[in-house]
Amino acid sequence: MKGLAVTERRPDSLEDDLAEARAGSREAFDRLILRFESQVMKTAVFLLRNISDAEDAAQETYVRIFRRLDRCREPEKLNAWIYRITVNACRDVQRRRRFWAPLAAVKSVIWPADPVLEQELSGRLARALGRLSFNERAAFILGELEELETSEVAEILGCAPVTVRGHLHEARKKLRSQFRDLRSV
Amino acid sequence: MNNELKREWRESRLPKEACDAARERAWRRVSRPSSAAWRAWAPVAAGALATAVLAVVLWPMVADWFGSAPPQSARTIAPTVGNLPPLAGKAPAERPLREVGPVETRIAARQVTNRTGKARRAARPEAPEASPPRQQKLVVNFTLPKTGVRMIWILDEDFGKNTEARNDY
Repeated sequence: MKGLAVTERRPDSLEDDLAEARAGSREAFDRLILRFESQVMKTAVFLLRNISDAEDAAQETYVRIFRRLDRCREPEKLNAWIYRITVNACRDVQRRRRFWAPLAAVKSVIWPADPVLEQELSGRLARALGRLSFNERAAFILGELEELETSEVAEILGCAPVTVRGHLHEARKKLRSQFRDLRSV
Repeated sequence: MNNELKREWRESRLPKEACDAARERAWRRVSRPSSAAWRAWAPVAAGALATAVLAVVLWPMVADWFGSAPPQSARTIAPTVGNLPPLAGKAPAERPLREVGPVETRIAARQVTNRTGKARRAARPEAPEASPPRQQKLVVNFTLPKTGVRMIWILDEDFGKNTEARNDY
């Protein structure tokens, strides 16, 4: 059975996708980004609590991943690296948003937000997270919801583990008052 | 509470349009040819700029070093100084233009200029003797109160011989 060689296409590795994407393949770029999309987008949406801002932050994160992925020397820390880029991009977007806040208020009057998109964020969690500061929110999302180690969260946020514990404590305290009815569950 | 929140976190659905739009915008940014070309040319441009800055910064040091120890060729050129026309009496605009050659020639030319300058200073005639003391004068300037006549008297050393008086109305 000489001519019956079955060519089985093995799933592309991260490096292959990156190389192909850099060579100009849109499909490879999509494959590359889809690996992280849920992680990046969900973190950005809940950190910024605004779809269009999350879109900006995600876009910036994808560009950084594309340009710097080969500099990430430790594959086991890839996850933390992605989170760090995402949180930093969100922080940048939030800083910019604070600067343009007066203009955004005018813009929201002229172009009201899409009700379908807004509905996605109307969950209780999203509303409750709005009561927390940016760092508390990030610490809660990463430490509690994504269940990362405190040291990892500290590395991602660029602060000491004791600071992360403080943020988590504050976040839990604030959220507990929001979810009194869930305590009994 | 945590379990409830975690369940909500896991089950939360992201708007597909936003995900696609973010990916599309990122792709447009990374696939823009200008950005790729710029990334390729940036190191070259930075290197050229650094070289130019270094050349500008280090050039005086190099020139001074050559100036303190001129090469043999420069020293051989230097004696031609004596044949140059004297420049002392001429205005700078009238000086003959020198031909600018390679580095050694230019250094020699600079030395020529320096020596010419020294020679010129040496050949400069002695400072003229101190001018005679100026004649002392006494000026009296006043206005008569009633008539308003203004009078200026200039009295020199020969007071009493030549007295000038001028009246301004």
